Amino acid sequence: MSLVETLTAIGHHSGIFAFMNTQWGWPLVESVHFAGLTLLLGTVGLFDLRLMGLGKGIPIKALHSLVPLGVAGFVLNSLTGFMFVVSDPGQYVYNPAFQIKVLAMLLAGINVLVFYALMAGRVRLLPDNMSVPMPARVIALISLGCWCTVIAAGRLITFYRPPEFWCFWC
Amino acid sequence: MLEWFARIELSTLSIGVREVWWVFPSVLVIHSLSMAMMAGFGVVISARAMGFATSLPMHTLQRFKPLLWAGLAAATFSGLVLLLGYPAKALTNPLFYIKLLVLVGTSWLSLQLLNNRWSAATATQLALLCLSGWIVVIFAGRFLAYTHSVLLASWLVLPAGG
Repeated sequence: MSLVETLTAIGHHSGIFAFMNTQWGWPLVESVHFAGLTLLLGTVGLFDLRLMGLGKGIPIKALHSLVPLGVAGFVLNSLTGFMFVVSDPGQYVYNPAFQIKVLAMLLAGINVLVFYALMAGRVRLLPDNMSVPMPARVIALISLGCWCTVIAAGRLITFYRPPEFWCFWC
Repeated sequence: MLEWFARIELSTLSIGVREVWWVFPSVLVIHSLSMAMMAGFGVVISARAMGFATSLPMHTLQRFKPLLWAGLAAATFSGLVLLLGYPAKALTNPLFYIKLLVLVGTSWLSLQLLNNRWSAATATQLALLCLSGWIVVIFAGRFLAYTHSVLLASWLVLPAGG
């Protein structure tokens, strides 16, 4: 089975396809998806901005304690995102906006691993008014850039519906 | 009223918002990012006021207050452009007015919570109200795309003033 066939089968057998196609199914899940990204941007985005040098004086370690909320938002969005994809796989798998969104998420994931492997320990011990080391600032900029790309590309999915859209690498 | 919406829809600017290919998607992206920025900060303020992340002093979060204002400015500007493109679609939908009212109230409440002038118990209750407000704004915003009864008034009536 192809990827699209597999995803379609999952959508149908799980009942997700049927739920999404009830009268308010799709907008309901979209709203939850937006609430989830709000949690992610509100916590991880603020932390990134703090590392980049905005809001000096906010204790970094304390601000970092909000990150579990962002992880909860990410989990919520993975679940709701999965609901969209299995309900109409062809519209996502071949969609350039969705492909860019997934790439940006992968990059954000690698970036997070690099941050926790190399920088998190040093950053957490930093006094409130000390300036953040340059590598951590760059990681924060990549993180914020990736998540903003994820949101922007996500909003653009509807404008790049395959197969009628001209796709520059297809 | 529909006649006036039709007149706006037939103005050069309104047609441009709908028909210049990059304008509408770009404005939607700006609207999403700015709403997420505002609501994200609002939700964090609510979470903090409810007792989450107590090691983070509320007054230090005041340093991010410009984010709320910047988000509000960008969301208002992009929202006005969207409104210019489809005035009848939003203004004939009661949900649009609910979204605006709740947005104004919730933004104000978020700023009040940031000032941290209440006992923990009162702050928790206000934070619950604030969080619910942001959820209502998000749901109302998304449902606006699904609940309009008129898309373009100019399809239905002649514009006011000929």
